[in-house]
Amino acid sequence: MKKKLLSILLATSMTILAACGGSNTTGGSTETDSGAKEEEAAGEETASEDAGAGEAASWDSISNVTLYYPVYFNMPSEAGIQSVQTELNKYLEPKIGVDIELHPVDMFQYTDQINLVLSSGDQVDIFMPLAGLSTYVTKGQVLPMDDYVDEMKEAIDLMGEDFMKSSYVNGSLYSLPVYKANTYQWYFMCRKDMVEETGVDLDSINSIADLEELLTKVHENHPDIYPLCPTNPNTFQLINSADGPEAEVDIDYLGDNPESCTGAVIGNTGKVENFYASDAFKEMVERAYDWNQKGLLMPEASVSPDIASDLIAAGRGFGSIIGYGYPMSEDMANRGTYGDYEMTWATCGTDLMQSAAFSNQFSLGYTSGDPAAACRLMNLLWTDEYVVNTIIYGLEGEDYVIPENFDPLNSMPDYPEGVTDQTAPYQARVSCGCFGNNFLMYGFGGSVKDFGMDLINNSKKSEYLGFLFDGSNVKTEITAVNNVISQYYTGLECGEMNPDETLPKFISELEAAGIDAIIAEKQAQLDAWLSQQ
Amino acid sequence: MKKKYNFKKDIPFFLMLAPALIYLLVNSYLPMFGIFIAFKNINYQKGIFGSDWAGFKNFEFLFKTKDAGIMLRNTLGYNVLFIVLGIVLSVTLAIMLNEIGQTFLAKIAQPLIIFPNIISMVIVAYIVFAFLNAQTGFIDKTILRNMPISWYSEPKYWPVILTIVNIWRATGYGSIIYMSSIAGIDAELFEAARVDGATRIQQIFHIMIPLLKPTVVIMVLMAISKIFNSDFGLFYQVPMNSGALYNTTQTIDTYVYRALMELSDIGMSSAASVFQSVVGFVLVLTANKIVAKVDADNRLF
Amino acid sequence: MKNKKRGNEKVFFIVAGVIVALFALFCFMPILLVISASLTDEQALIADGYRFIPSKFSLDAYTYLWRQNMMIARAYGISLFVSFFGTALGVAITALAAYPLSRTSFKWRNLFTFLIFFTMLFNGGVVSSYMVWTRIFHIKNTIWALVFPNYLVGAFNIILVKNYYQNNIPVALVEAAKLDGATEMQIFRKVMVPLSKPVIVTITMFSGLAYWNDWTNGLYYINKKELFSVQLMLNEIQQNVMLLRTANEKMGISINQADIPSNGVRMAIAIIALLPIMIIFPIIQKELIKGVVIGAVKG
Repeated sequence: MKKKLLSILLATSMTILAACGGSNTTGGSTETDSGAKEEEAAGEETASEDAGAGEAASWDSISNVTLYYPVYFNMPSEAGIQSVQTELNKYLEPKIGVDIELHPVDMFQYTDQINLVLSSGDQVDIFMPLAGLSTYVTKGQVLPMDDYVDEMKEAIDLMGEDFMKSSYVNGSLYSLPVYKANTYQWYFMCRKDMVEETGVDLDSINSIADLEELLTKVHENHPDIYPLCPTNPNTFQLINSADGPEAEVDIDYLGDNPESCTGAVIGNTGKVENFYASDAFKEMVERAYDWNQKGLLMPEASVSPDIASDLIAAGRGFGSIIGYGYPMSEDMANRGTYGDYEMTWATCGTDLMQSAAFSNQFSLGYTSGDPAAACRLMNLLWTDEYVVNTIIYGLEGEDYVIPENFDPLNSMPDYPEGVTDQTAPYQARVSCGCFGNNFLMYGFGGSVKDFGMDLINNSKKSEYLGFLFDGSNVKTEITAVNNVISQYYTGLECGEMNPDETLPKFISELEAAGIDAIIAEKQAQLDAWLSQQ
Repeated sequence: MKKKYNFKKDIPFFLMLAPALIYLLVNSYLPMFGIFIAFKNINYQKGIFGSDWAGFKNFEFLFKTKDAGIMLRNTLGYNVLFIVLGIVLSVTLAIMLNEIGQTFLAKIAQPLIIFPNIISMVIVAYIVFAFLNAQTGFIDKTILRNMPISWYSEPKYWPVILTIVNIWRATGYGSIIYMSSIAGIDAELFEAARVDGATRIQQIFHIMIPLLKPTVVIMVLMAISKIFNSDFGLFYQVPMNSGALYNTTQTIDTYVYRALMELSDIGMSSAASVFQSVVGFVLVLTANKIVAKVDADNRLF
Repeated sequence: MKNKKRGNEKVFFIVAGVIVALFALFCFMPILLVISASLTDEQALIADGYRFIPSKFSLDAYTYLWRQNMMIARAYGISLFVSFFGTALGVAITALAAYPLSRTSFKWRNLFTFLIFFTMLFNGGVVSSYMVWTRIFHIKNTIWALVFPNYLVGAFNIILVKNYYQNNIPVALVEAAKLDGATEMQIFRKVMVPLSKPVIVTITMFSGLAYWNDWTNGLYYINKKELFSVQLMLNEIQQNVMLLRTANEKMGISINQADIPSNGVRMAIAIIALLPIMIIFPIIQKELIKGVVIGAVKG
């Protein structure tokens, strides 16, 4: 219990580790580029000093640039924001002629808040188009950035054209994607003692289907304990984790995700079809139903607010499926979030890299005051360690301190004496995974970066990577279809609805709601996109 | 022919109305240009007025769904039920509370009956789940020991469950209005009735309830204007968004939320609210006409 | 005969008492459950479910909140100020506006009643309200953003008060005062306000509760942590929990489940939000029931 409370008290530090990976894992960082990095950092320091000496003359005027970015759980204080802003501007004014204005927005209302400020005409220079880039383009909320590629040359070169495929709509550049591992490695996290009891070798598990034997044995040994628990409320992640390259066919949701898919390409056929009517989906929900019937899944998961970590800590759960873009380690697995139980893991599957993986992007708002200046700032968000770390960690001395023997690549700075995540005037540590260049941040340059770069370079890539669907012509059908999906998806995924009875009903209701019209529209857009490639 | 209207006489009235009117002008009338959004294909760069007209396209999604009938039936059905029950129970409770007067019980009971209204719906959903879940729930563990019911997959129970939750939440709050009306009744009326030998119950039925009628009528009229709206938390959160229960839990508001979750399209969401308002408006005008015919003193305007 | 009647009234009194007691119990039981949950050890809560008596007592949830005392205390201060100020101003405007509408001699009463009622039906939506309040009045990130939009004066309350003036205050009193040469404002102050205490108290409570419970104004207009109200804080915590389900995919980050504030804390916050009502209510209820003797004022 103590541990549980502690984990809440330390919410942020936990969150960082969780959201952003096992950064304290001081693995053997034999980075070849670490030396180069330090040099870079040193170079910047001198640059800022030079600037202080009066280099500002190179910019005739200073442009105000607003940055709207999401923060979780802890809003920075106004005073903290102000001092970070002031400090950043000392650096940015001479360097790129920009005065930054920070607008951290609580994540849970980010899209709504952005819609509000954009529609009311407030100046929004840089923001995340989280509801789907093509929608923002259709509604005229974003500006094309083609004229400013020179301002962002370093950032674009850094990521490479392949990484930026999902940033183009109708041939124009509209965004920069967040640079980080954007596909998941899926893990099955579970109680070590119970695994040992079963004698199952976790290394023999390579996919979700392989879990059945382990879960069954656990159920036999401990009928009172739920073998598989929901990772987040109302989802076991049984579909998200099983649709990767390990599956027989590649499933590209064409910009959607499995819980709201209006048409997917299954198996590189170039033909858009109804995902929920596919054999792949049927197989996945049949397995869920089968496992539910065998008692391997927590019952009533589709409505219960309970989640795996609580259940495991309380001695009622065995394990759950979770996806990370970060390497797993003993240290990471046992962060005290599972109560007193020691945890271990099996690696299950990976993701097919597709357009949806790039939904974390930053775009230019149509109300931008000076798009060129905004693009210069964006460039730094991808390439300048000082700027990135200041926005994530705040100011050294006030919001964080660098401990002795600090390894900037593999560990994060500490909070100053007596300061916590709650009381720090400014910190946006949890935003690390959705901001600029993740690998520049303290703690993400070492093993996390290696793991991430491996995922980026070696993940299987969909043939339709970069295709973005614009649903504005079939809005009415999309709403009706979404309503049908929300009625059946959770129940099926949680194994509570019998697919033999439910699936035919689900499919016929989807058809009645007009899914075929959406599929036809998607097909037409996909064909057009393919012909341009 | 007609007597000349004396404007001067009404000046104090205008002055007294002014603060409220100015506020409503700013808070409600100025933003009404937003209603245009419902009829536009919004393009932010062109602005609300510059965007292309969409006609009634944004309204289509409300009707082109298999749930159109279900959500209309549920929204209307629950509202009618809640209006009737709300009045009967709130009036009864108000009378009972008034009867026991300044007793210790009244002092304890009054805050208690208001509490449910202040608890957020998310917490209410947890409470309901605590009662109904199959693993640790009270109902299944204590009353139905041997025949557990899976409440969250059986739509037929939910009209009752939601009604109970609504009674729990709204009755105490609603009774306050009737208590204030009762408090305003001239005590001499009761005194006179007592002298004439009327029992307390007779006083209630012959004096109190007739005098509550104007308040009841106003409350009903105002409720009718909101008859196409529903308490989102009650219908979405309390049933834990369970897909199996749509038949008895889907209302216009929950449908709009579910349908637009992915799209976040302001044209369509304002279309939904315009539709709700227009229907409410037509209904309340009709109802007010009827009231004006039957009992002119009690009409709304 | 007389005795029997008195006996009947006693029975009725007891029946009324029993009904009220039962209903109050019905209202309170679920809240007792919340209180109990907030005092239960987190793991016991998951293992045993909610119980009326904690299966394993623990103050952890409240200790957690106590450690955040500065934030909570501040949010409390904001909520109290907004509720008091907004309610006082709003009730004054409402009571004043209702008076002309209740006077049959006022030629435009039906028109204005209609115009006021109309605002209950139609609204321009969040976007246009936001534009008006932020672009014309610049209230974003100020405390006034919590006071002015939506809640200050509402058609519902105006109509409630108007209805009360009309039905519970004898026209003769107003006529008499007019004959004595009182101005409309004097009639309002000396006749209407004292005689309409029950309804004033009612709308004070409604308005106060609306302000106290509101978090949407904060959601739209406040980004400053320093200006968060109690309910906005509570809601933020709740929503962050909900977000986990959908955002993981979209944001591409996996938030660890341990960040979800435990159930106990969630329940504890709900209880804390109730406290002011417990303190303020006794004052309000005295006015509501005392009103029975109102006839004495007459004459």
